[in-house]
Amino acid sequence: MIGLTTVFEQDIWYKASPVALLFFVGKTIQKGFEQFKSLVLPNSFVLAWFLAQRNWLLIGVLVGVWVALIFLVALIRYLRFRFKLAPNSISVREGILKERQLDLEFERIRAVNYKRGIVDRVLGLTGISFDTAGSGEAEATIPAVSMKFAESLRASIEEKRTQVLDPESSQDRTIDEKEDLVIPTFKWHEILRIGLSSGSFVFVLTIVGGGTAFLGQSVGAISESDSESGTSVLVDGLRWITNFGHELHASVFPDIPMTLSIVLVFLELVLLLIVVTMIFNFASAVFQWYNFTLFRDKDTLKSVAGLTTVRETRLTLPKIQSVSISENLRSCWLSFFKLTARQSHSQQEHTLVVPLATSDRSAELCHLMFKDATKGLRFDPRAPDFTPISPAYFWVGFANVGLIPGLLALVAGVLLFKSVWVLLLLAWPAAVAVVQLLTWRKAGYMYNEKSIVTRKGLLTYTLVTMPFSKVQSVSVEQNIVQQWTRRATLEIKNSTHTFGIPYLDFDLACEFRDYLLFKVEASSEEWQ
Amino acid sequence: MKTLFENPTIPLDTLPSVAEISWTPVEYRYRNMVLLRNLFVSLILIPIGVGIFFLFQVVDQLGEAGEVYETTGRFVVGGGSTLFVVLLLFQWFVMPFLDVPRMKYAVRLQDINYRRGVFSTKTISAPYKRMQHAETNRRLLERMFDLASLSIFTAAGQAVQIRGLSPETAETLRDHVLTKISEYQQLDVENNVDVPTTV
Repeated sequence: MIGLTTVFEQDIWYKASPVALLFFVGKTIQKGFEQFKSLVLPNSFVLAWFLAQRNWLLIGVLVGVWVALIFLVALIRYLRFRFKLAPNSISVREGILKERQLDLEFERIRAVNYKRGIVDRVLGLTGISFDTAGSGEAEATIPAVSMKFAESLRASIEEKRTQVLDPESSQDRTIDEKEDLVIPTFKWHEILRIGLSSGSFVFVLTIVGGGTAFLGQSVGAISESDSESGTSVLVDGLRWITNFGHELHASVFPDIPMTLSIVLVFLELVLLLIVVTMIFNFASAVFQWYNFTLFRDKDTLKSVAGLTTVRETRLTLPKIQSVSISENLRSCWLSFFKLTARQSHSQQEHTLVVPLATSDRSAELCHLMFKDATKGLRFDPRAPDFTPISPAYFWVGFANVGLIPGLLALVAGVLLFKSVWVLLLLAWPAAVAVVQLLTWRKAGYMYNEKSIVTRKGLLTYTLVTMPFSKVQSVSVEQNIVQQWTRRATLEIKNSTHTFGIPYLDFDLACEFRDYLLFKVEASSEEWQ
Repeated sequence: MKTLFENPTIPLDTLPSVAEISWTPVEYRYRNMVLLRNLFVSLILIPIGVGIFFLFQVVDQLGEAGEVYETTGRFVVGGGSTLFVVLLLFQWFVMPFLDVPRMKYAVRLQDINYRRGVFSTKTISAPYKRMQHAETNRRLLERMFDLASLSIFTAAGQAVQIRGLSPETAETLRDHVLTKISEYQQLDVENNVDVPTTV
């Protein structure tokens, strides 16, 4: 097997070891799942209906085709994959339809990560992935190479890097890493909190929804099958679960009626599902954020985290463009935020994420990242210091999206259908009013001489902050209503976000713009 | 009105204001270009619309839909589509007369400003210091009317696009912007030599 050899000659394209096929299968499933997640999950009703129909032939064929497709794609990927070593670089060539060749120079590589599955461990193999400068995402992975080869590759990359980075003091650096601890390693209770708030509960809700439809169908099937015995395994299984639950209930409350018991069984299943999801979320949080630690090395922030694959992300302080501090309903309840520092527009790459931060810690981190430009600003969205947005924002939004279209549809509906049910259209303006009211009340902003924080959200808050030195362009916009009421929307753009402050007093907006332009044009600070 | 900043060294009244600058409108013939372009678009879209209308008529007569829709229904549908067509025609053939004269730009020592809009106005200000790249474009119609457009890019993407400039103006502006960009780059390099990057 090629992958088990230790020595690779240079400038020859190598195939990956056959063991790597497993890696490609996994990757294909993962990619496929990511792509179809949005498609499959909302359709769990349809899936449940399919299952309840018990058309085993159709289901079997579908599943078979799916599995065959995955293996085919993985096989082609495996066959197309090649890598090559050169004295100072490593090249990877892959792709099914579009061939992609990646040349990574050793000095550009920031970190070499190992990723080892069970099969890898048994055979003494490892997958290597490379993090390149400034990016937290591995750009290339070579699956299933021998551990010895991986170690030697890592050593030679490490050697090259330290030479380039600091030719003189390369030896000092290895002995004494001058890194300040910014956030100490996460404790278990902190990871538990991250786990509780991570993952999406929409996922659970869709499964519960699909499950309800399925259960409804199957309960119907059970009552039918009482007369004609011998139906499918699925219904038998479900009947067994229901009977088991019923017996369990009956042993505690002897006189429990059957219907109540079935409802109870359903609720218990939902509860079980939620608990399982929680455990799953917690486990993935452990995998992702175990040992999360944030260091500062001169003007670089470095985060290290991960149980199996240790991810190391580096961000240069002057390059950070904006920081967003967000929460979801669960993290709001557990009172912490997720902090994301961005240095470019891209969503995943070039970002540093701190998964758990209190408002005090967020403030500290912002002061650190923006050299105290954010001093005096509050990073607690519930603080009263935020300036609210004018109520005109609520009324105009409500009229434009809710009231006017709603009334027009109502008039047209009454004329066309002459039915009382048309009145249901009034639910639209009502819903828009609620959404607009929530959005309006969550919106706000706060600024000092050097930076601005904006606040937005629907159910929970998101704060985004940016120092004025990072501004790229400014614009002032007025719609008709704003012209009547002498208000304007101020739009501040930097390379990661567009900050909009709607329905600001027109003079204030203009003054703000002139001040920002002055700040950019008169200061000698570079934006990056 | 409440005061904006507590910054004692620079009183805000002394700041140069974008509101007080003199604006230059874009070329007058840009309006004619827009009108011609919209005419082309309408020449393609109107036959399609008429075709769909007659298709509905045919379907109407083939089936017994005439009994389903009542006169009020026809009134609503007809009124709605007439309104739509009128708005479309307004947008195509009246808006350019209002819109184009209000497209103005201003070149200042430190930034380029662009404003446009009839019912809703927008003023964009882009400082040279943040510009990365500028380009002029001359598309087919623009060449026919001897016009050009100028796009200016910052790290946040396209900051300004000024359409309807004469080619000479566009090129002068582009060269001006590019010179400014290289000037600032030179300044940055010099600054970096004097002051090494520290935290």
